[in-house]
Amino acid sequence: MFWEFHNIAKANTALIDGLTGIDLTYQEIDSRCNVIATMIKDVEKRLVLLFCDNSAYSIVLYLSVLQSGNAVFIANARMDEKLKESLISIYSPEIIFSISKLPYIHAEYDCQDIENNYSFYKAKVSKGQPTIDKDLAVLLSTSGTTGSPKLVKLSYKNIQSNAESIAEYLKITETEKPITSLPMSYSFGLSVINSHLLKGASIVCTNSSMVMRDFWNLFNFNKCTTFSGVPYNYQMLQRLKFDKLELPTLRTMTQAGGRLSEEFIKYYYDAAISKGIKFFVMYGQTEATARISYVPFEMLREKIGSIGIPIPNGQMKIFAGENEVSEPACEGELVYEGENVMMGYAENRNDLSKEDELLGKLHTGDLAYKDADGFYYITGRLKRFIKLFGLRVNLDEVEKMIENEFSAPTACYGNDEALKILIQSEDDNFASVIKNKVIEFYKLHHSVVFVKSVSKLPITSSGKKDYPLIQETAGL
Amino acid sequence: MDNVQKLTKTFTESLEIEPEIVTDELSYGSSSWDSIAHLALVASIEIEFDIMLSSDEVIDMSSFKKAKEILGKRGIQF
Repeated sequence: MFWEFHNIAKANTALIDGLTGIDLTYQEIDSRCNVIATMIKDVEKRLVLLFCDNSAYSIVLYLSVLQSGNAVFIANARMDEKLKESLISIYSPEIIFSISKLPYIHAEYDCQDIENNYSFYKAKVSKGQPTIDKDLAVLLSTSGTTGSPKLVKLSYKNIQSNAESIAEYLKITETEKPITSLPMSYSFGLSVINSHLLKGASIVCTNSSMVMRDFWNLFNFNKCTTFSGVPYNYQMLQRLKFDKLELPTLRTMTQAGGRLSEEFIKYYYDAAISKGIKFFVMYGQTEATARISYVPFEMLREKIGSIGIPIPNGQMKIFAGENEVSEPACEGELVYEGENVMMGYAENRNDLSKEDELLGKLHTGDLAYKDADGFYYITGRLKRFIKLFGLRVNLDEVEKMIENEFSAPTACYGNDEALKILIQSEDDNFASVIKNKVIEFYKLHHSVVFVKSVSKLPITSSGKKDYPLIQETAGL
Repeated sequence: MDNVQKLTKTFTESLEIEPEIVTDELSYGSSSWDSIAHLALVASIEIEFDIMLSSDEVIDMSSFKKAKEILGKRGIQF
């Protein structure tokens, strides 16, 4: 298992902290993990909530929990304090690691300051919690820093097998050096860490943003080889004129977290060819730990727009209703099978005692077809989701939130570039109130949220919201 | 409108903040100034001052003060 560091050179550098410049070898992180694992170990399996950033120490804490045999819920430290409080009350973690103080829980937890400005919280009394399933390793949010407390449950087998598959098709070796361009609380960000630790590579850990000079200084100073991003990161990178950037040690770029437009794929393909590097377009879901498919670089030019072929040890199938369709060009729901398929969702503490409910089979909710060469293409979604900046936004959930909060009939639609909201209201100012609420609640940039008031939402003859007509007439 | 007012306007609109917050101390990472807002800000400055910013200028624009310095080198007086 990658968190045990077997079969890798212990003298290799594992983590380089961009902020402090401190390097940690695999030997060093292993002994640190041992100490922390001992500190948090108990007879019963516990839930550890880790409010992380992208520092080397956050990764050490994550690995320590894995070594201890406890389950770890990895959440972004930048999450809204109210949301933190509600997650703590819903999941009652026995242990919390946090960079910031959490004054609202001081009555129930003992707090101790530990290294790197982290606080270590331990529940004062064990409340006779339901047991945690022995296979449960990691909990991740499906929506990043935003609203929903619904979590994806990943097993030890899930994270190990996905790391192995990714390392295999990206041909990761110990000479790789990725930089943390994505949060580790996000499945894609975490998969970069896991797959590189598996091979004994060195990870440059930074909280700097790719739109700031520090990030690229660190990248070049440490001779980084790998950059990963969601479509939005690649839009920014084009603005920074990637084709002219001096990044002499860059070898691999990976993209996932939503559809990158064909124009951008062409741009990066051409840039990759001229720089002599590889660019991987990939597809996945947090429900599959991270990765489901990828386009081999040598096929990218020919298969622009495709999500590629299944990762090693995975299978993709198309289902029309109950039946699998094996002929090319038939559309249906994409179903993925593999050892990286999650155990199930959790919505509260009790759900952590449940065993694997999916048994290796995931209905992705995406509509797709495959071509004659076995490459898959997404055509739409069964469920109403959009992905903004790599984060999934459930349109029905946004609607429900607005309707509950403002008692006004609401229709949400959109694509991976914009969330569009139509409100039934006579008051024109209402739209900006709603917009502010949505931006604040989901932490979205105002440029991707569009709201309009109408006197009557179009409905179908059966009284349901008429989405096709709404989209046609909204003028958003 | 003078150049400081023009630049302040690009900040208030892109970051959706009040003009009082736009001071020399305002820097990347504070309030709503994240990577997404940064690109909106850059685009807004380009339109407002009718210039094209280079990659170096984009990644160096880490505070309001820095923005004035960068534009100053382009002959825009503050």
